[in-house]
Amino acid sequence: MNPTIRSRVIASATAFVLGFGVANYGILRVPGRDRWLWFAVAIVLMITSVIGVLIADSRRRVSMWAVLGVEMLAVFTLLPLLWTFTLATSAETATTQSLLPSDVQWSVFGDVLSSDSIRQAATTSALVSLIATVVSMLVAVPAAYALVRRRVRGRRVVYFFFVAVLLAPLIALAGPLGDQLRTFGVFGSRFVLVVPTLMITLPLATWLGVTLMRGIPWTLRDSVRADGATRWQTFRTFALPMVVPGLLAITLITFIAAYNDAVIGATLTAGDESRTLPATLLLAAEQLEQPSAAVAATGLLWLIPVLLVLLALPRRTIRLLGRTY
Amino acid sequence: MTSRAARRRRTTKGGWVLVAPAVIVLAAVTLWPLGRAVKTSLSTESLTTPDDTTFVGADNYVEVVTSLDWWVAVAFTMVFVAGVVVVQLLLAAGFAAALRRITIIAPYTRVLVLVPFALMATVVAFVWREGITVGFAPSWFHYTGDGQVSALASMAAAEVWRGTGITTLILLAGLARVPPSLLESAVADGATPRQRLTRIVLPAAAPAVAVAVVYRSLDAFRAFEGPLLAEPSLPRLRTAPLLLWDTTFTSFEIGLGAAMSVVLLALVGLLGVMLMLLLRVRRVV
Repeated sequence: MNPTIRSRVIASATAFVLGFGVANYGILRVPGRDRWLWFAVAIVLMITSVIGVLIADSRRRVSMWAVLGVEMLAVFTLLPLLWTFTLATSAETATTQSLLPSDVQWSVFGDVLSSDSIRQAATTSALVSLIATVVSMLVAVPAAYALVRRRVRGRRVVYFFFVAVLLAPLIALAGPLGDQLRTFGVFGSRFVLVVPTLMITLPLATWLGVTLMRGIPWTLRDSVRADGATRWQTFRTFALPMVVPGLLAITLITFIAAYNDAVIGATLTAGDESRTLPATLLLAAEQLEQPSAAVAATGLLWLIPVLLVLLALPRRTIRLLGRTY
Repeated sequence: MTSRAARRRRTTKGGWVLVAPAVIVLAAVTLWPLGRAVKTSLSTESLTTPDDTTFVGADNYVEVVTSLDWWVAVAFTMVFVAGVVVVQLLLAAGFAAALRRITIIAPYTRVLVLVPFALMATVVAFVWREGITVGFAPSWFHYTGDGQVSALASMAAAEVWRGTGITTLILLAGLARVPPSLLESAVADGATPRQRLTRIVLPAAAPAVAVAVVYRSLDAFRAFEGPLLAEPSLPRLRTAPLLLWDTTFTSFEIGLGAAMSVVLLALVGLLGVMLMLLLRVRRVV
């Protein structure tokens, strides 16, 4: 649908007013260097409004409201990210008051990477999440397939159970679980954390698996088989392009979700040897030199591989996370 | 007739065998602690005085349900959840509508919404707390950052920022279900944008909105890092999960904490079911 001239002009006017307001507020009330940030945003908005007016009667299918929306999204997402970077790279006298980085010190990244407690916590998190993810995928994928493709009696109850655990406040179960671990005498061990982490990974893997299986064109498999393909050929022409990338995306999302969890690490670990990374950042940050910079830096260091992973399979990831109903 | 029965048998066969392992593992991992919680909640067990455990029946439950602290925490959590979810929905609706129309480098602009999700929740909570209480926000908007309102705002901001991305993706998928031909014929029939919104877009996207509301509400309810970081500045206002954390892991009153766990789970279950019924969430499998 082609946007009307009127909608484009109104969008441009809105952009202009917003930009004007942002610039004025920046001049009058924002101290210091951050003023330039406000100006930058204002300039982008005003340029958008000018472009909107210029192309108002063009036949191209560009919606100025959508452009404005994406600009807002970019500001919404990227400004806090910039703040994280500033926190990470600022010297630790008092928290910096300016969102723009100044006096950038890269040393904190090196400190974080060489810090023993962070390394240990990161390894614990990685091991626990990896084992939990692998175990979960092994049982969840067949279960998801069966829930979608086979007539399982009571499948709605089963699915409801999985969704319930997925959304439940797991801190409620952490207490009794810790109790149980203490009785068994294994409280404080790293690998024992795998069991509660399964509460996160198993429902998530099943839920995403069901979404995946529902989106696969199974009739394609039937026609490939009908054309006389061998099992290997069926795998190569059907399963590999259709199923395997989705499974990969699910594995990665599940791993990321397990790694990210702070509740289990905070409630079920005793000391530094067995604490996960999020729990360490939450509870034990004061032990690090430059605590706030270290926390922000760790976040950024974790962000990079995660983003790369999510960008590797963008369409699958988005479809999996979005089409869950 | 026989072939249909045979086909049915073939597709039923192997169903439970595939599902059983997942169900068994999940049941073992969740129902065992739940059972233990119920058992522990019937006594006054406490980690600091482990020998002082006496069976008190339902006393712990009575204590939880009649405690003002508990209900204040629950009410506070509900208000927090409602506020956070509404803001997330509004922002996500706007972003989803915008992303729907932008198809240049489509998957990559859409992955932009996943950036907050990719950052660790702990780091997000920390960064927003620093930003709103002592960082850039007080200097931009001229207020002093120490105080309950700032702590509250930082908690809410962290949760909203982190969750808007996923909500956007869900709503985006919902918007994709709107049939474009229907929209075009509505335009041809002279429908105003508002009529198009209320009569075509909203009903078609309603399942997605319902799922987004249930998911975000329950996720916000169990938010942990934000409230924990804000706790020192909000001594009287704690969310229900945080109250549970304090009871079980700071005061080590395990019996009372177990009762609180059971009550919390029941409450969340009730909330979830109510939301699902209210919003008529479609069953998926």
